[in-house]
Amino acid sequence: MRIFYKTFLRVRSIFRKNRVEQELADEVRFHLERLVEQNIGRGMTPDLARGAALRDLGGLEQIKEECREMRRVSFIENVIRDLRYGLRMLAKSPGFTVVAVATLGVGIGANTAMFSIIHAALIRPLPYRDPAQLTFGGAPNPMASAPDYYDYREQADCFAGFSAILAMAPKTTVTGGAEPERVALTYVAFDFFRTLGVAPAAGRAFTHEEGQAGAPYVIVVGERFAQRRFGGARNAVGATLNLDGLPYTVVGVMPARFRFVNDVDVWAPMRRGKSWAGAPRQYHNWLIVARLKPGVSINRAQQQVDVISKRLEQQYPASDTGMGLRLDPLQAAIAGPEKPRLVLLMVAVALVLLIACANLAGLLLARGSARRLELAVRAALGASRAQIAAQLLTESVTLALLSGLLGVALALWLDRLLPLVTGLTDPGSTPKGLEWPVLLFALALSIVTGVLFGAAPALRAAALPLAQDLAPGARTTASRGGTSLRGALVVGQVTVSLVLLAGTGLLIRSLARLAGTNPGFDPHHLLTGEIQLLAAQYPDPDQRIRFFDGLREDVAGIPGVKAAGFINDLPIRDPFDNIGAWDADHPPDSPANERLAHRRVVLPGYFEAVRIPLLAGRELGKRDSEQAPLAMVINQRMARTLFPGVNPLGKRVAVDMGRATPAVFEVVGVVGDARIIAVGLGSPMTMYLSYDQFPNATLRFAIRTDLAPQTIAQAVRRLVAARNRDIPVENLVSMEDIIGDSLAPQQVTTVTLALFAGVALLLACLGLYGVLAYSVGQRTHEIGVRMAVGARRADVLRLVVGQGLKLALMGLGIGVLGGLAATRFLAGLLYGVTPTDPATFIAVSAVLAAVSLLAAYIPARRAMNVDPMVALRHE
Amino acid sequence: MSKPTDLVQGTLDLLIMKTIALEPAHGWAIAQRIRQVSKDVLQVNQGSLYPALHRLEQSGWIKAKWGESDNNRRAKYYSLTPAGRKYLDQEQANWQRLSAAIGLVLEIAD
Repeated sequence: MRIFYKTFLRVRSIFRKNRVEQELADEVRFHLERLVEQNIGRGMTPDLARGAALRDLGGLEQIKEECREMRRVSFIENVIRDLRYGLRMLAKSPGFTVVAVATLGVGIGANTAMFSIIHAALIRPLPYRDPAQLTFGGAPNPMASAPDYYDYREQADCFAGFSAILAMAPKTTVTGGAEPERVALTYVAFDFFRTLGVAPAAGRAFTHEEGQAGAPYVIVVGERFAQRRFGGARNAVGATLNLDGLPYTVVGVMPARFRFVNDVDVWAPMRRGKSWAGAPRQYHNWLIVARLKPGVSINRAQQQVDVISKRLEQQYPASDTGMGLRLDPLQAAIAGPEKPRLVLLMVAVALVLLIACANLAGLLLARGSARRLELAVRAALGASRAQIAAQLLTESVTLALLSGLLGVALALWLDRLLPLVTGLTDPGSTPKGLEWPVLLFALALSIVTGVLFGAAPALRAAALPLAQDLAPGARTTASRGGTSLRGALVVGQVTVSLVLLAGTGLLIRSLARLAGTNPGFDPHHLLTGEIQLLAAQYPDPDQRIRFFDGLREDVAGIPGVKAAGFINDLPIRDPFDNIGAWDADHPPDSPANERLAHRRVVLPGYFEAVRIPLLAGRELGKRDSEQAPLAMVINQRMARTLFPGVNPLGKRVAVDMGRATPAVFEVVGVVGDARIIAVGLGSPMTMYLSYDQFPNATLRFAIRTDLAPQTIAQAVRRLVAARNRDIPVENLVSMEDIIGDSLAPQQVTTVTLALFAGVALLLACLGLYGVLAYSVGQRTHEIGVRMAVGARRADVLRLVVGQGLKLALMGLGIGVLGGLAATRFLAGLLYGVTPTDPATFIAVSAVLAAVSLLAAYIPARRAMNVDPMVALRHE
Repeated sequence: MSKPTDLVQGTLDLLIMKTIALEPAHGWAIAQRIRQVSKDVLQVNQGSLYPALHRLEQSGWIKAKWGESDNNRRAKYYSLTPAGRKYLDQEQANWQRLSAAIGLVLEIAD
């Protein structure tokens, strides 16, 4: 009960302060009056009575003050008082305040924005039910084949849900509406949504029956697609959609923000034994998503899965040797790949904030010297050292909180720009605004920052004897100590700047190397696109061959087109489809020793169109028709790997096409290597097959033109539409753009880091300039003396610049050592450049030294121009 | 009693609380009563009276109410809270034990 009464009193003291003060005054006055009355009763005159009463009582104000202290809210009152005083002081020097708040606000804002990204990507729990219980396939064996999946599912018992999703999102053509549309689709096990714990926005998820062969065709669509196509989620449920010519019923709609691994509009159920879910055991392209039973640890589940893997290996050595299934916690698995980049940027931006704090500390130290008189007066009036330090610290924190507000506004604005930052957004759902952990972070960061840069000035002000500052003309010799502290701060700033610059330099070189790599083909002036024939409309292979042959001729006839190439998977954009291939005459002794080669199916003229050189033999052509023997053209890498030292022409290659026996091809040609997976990765073994022998429904094209690629896009569309109105031409984009997009994450990281390093450099220079300018100001008298006894202006220049250079070189030296140690963490992001690349370090050191010289030059000039007569009279 | 020491402060609290245990009173009346009952021996330092009252109030042992005094002026009357009453009994017992013990020791020293 006591606690309520006590709290009530305290609250009242804060909020009804005037009332409480009035009561205190009344109470004491009442006592005084009674005392006076008593004195009068004893015979004194009113004046004497009053005087005696006041003497007896002691100081009225002191009594009231002691009563106030008893109320024990003075701490809060002091803080509020310091806060208001701090705000007033900041308002009185607007220049300083604006610069400080701007500097710090940018630092806090950048950190908050970065933390928001990291929070969404790495920290925030995934938007699924009980996400800690979810596991995901992890390296080195993240995927299983469909038959393996069904086996695991039947044999494992420690999972509350064992589901799968296809690792790809093939495109399908949706017809029946106004225009044919190509949408991305993926396959999932029937209990996929239930395992994740995501409820549909409308309708339902799949049933067990719908996962069996022979079940009716059903799909689940995304809310955005439903909105576009049907005008709303409700309307979509029960509607029919034609995918590749076959009718599907929509049974459910997923919420707009739901996205898992593949960015798709349509989810179709795995129908056991059909289509992708019926692919042979050696095609491991299903990602496993499993939910652990409550109480089961991931290690136990892994053990059980390993036992099953061993069993499968023994039963199916051809497909499952060396394949296991690894389970990783879902959150780690999804966020993992982005982690190095994000951590790098977070560290960098935190370092920038540190530099900004150092700048502010320096500014405050200088200001502290200017305020010595004010502080000395406060001390003389009775403020203790602790109170003065507390007041200065409160000012710093106030400044920091103001900057924090600016920072949060900045972060909100940056957050709007985030979707443009490709590769750095989270995979689950898009963040909207700033969530409360991020705001909390901003608040905490502001307070910590305020304490960090305010501590040094506050402690210094409280520690030094203040009394002597009251003497008029007091020489601030004590400020010398301040200068050395500020000097140390500058050295630190230069050090950190150098580390950041070194990292940036390394990343820039990596990017340049990447961009300049020869991909093995000529990516300029190439328009690419995709065409899918509806299976229903072109059931006969001959029809498909005729369609594409005819299209190729038509396209080649477009004015401005030099050559047209058609292939099943374009370089860089479609780095998929690799299967086992080996020398037919020397098959590998065990399936584990099988090599994988990328399978590409081409029409004649592809190599000429993309400019991959033919090194030996011939191209594939019309003679490699359906009736002719199977022929392939291999790349140099494959020739050297499978047939080292011999002429591969005429040799036979066996390929595991997923049937009972491998298909055997004759090698008719050898072409140059091409980087078809990524610009930064070397060329894999690649084999090119003839389209006439493998007429797929989907083909992509690369058209070489001497005009800008997009100008012929319309012509291509018209040509296709003329042949078949129902076929859309998808993804018309130039090859250069494809390569550029693939480099985007690297580019973004590099640009961002460069931005941070630039800001760091600027701040460090400002810090250096500040210290030197202040020092020159302090030493004006000394400079006057020197000049008077014969020093020339050049000597003075050398003196000041030397001082600055000393600080800069110290920072440079430590920075180079620190940088050499720190950049090893960048190794994963570098390409073609070692973390300790000497050229980079030398270059950034030179840049830093040059900029420091510039920063030192300006105060030096001022020192040079000091008039000795004026200086000698200056205090 | 000049500046209160710990022992003296505790004693003052005890005297105040005992005084208002019988009847609520304002600060002036409390000081008068203590003087009267102790036959003019104990004269409360007026500079320490009010801080003590406020401290006791902040600790929740006594509560205050504004009322009309005998000469129709507003005054702040203090009374014991239930917790205060228990605290008083406790402290009174402690005090008696303490003074008895001191008495024993003083008798031996002779």
